[in-house]
Amino acid sequence: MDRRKFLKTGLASAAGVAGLVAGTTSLLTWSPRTHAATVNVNISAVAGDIPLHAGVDNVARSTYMLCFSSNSAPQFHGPTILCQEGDTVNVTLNNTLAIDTVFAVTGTGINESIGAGNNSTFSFTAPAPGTYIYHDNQNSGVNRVMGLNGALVVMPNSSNRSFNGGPTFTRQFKWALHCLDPAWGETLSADGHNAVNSINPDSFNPSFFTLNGFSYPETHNPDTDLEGNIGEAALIRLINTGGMIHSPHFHGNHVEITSVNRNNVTGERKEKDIVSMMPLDARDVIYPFKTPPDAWPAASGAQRYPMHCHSEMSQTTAGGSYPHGLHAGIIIGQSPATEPEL
Amino acid sequence: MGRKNRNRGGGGEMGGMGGMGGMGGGCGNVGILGNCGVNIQAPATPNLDPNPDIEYALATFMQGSATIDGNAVNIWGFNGGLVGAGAGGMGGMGGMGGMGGMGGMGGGMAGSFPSPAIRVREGQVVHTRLTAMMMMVPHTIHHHGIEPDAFNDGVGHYSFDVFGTYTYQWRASQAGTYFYHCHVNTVLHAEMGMYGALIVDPASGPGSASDGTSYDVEAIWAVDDIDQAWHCKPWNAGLCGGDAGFHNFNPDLFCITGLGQAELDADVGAATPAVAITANQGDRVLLRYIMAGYVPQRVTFHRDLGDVTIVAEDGRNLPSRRTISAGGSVFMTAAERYEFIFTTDNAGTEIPIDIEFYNYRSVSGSLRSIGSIRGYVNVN
Ligand SMILES: [Cu+2]
Ligand SMILES: [Cu+2]
Repeated sequence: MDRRKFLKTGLASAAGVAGLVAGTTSLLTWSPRTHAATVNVNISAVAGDIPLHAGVDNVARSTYMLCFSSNSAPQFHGPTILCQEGDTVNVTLNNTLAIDTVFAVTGTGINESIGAGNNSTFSFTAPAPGTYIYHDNQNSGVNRVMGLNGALVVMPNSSNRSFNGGPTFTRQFKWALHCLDPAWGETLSADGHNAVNSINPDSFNPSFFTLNGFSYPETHNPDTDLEGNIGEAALIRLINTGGMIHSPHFHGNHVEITSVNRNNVTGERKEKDIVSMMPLDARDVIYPFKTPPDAWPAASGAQRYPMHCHSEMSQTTAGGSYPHGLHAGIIIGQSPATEPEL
Repeated sequence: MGRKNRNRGGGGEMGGMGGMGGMGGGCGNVGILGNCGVNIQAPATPNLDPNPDIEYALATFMQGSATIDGNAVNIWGFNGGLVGAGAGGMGGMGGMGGMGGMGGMGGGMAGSFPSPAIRVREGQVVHTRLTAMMMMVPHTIHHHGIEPDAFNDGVGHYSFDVFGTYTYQWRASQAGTYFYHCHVNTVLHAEMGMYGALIVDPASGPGSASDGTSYDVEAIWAVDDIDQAWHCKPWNAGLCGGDAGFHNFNPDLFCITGLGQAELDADVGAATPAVAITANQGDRVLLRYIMAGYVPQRVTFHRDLGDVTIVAEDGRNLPSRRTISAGGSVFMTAAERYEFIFTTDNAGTEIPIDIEFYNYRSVSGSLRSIGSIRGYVNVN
């Protein structure tokens, strides 16, 4: 199945309106407002098969996952909750799983448990601006890695930055890093959802590696690839929802570290070509879209580069198919082709 | 060369001793041109500058062998080094090439691990001439952290993979600690040892860290993890699909600049150690640390080395230096680079710098140690 269909048939999110954005979507658009609002979101916890990347040899396969979804079908990742600081977020969570689920938000005290088969509504006030992960934090992360996760993006009051006083940017992207071990899916499919309680987290041996649910070359779509003209800085909200330590490496430009788990850099920003990502980390970086500094003579025309994780096991699918893994494109000198449609 | 600092051969030499002339045996590796996803070309360099400031020539080898903690490990890499007038004088430069890594060993069939260092100065136009002929296998050179135009970035999926000769052209815009590696089936080729240090000195040349801080002693360490089960696979394993086991990395050997613990323990006692850092009391030491592995590392400096200052990471000076107090440590992930500075106020032999390696898999977020290695500093 073509995962790209999600981009077209997924959640229609009008630009700049608080609410849910498909978890496979990278480009976020936002219009700041001066007042807080009430945001109502409906999320279901559902289980089912999610297609896995086919690899170079084009093998059709899928894995059983537990998902947060904006409808009754399994979705991976869960929808991104996009809102503004101070907003009242009302979440109606319909848990169709055979086990309790938890909606917890990193870096906050938000932690709601919803019983198996129950439907419950809870509210929270959108915390300080920044990038958060909402996740089912049970079983030392097993539930999260099985798919129960998504991003919570909180914009500041009145400004289109990642925090008031933060750097300006032309576009912002959310990139979720994840990895999957199909053996865990088989266990859940065969033994029932309760098996999450008995899976040893240390048995995790991932063989599929994704960015917003895609593996290269599916990431080569105008939404997931990082594209911009010279000077059109991008904010990238990197989150690691998976079960390995990632080391995303950016070609073309160094990135500027803007926030590390919502600790905002207010002075001069450190430049890195590697961003270390522990599980549950959220790191915001600026990709400046400068002309490549070491080109000789100066580069002309659009320049295509990769962003890939340097823990190179993540550059594979089912044990091979390099570089079909956690890898996306960067195009310096070209704006996203379908931008007006987004 | 006008280099003010003293080079005692201590750690300034990039390129371990393990690869001396060995032949990797037993692994059939017949090149097959035109494999899945490989885009083989050997084009002329666009806008080739006829007068580069410095040129390196590197040729691939695929039948090397290194001894790591007593184990013979098959190694691939690059042979060669600086081209032209400066090449003959490199013995005194320190950090230029490894022990025996400067020339084709065994008729180009084997070479050193890691591959020889590339060392240039800020502002120089650089040519890196890659010749990939050995075993009929394509390779590339990606200058990691250097940001040239895409054509010269050495990533086959965005340009081409080299079979034949290609000259990468770029200009070193910022002093810093980098490395270079092959970007063909990288998961395998980087693991096989196809990497070397890439140092961009300030315009003034060796003798100062990237931020201009002068040093008395320089060391370049590339710290790597090795899964021996991966070291007998064909160059194109997995490229056409199928399970080559590349999702499953379980390193059983660890090394600093090609030396495992047994070799490091011998090296530290040598008259001129290759990797152990040798300094006099009161010297300022620059340790250029290249994280060349795939699994996370934690580097812990013995308290006798005093406070350790990080002046640069990933080829960029920090906005403000960060000091780790004596006995402290730094956690790092794949392909980061650090410039550490410390002053050897305390005399001592075999002062340890300990590196712990962790499983890259972590569902809970906690770290599981899978091994360690100890490098040394001798302070006279
Ligand atoms: Cu190669
Ligand atoms: Cu690299």
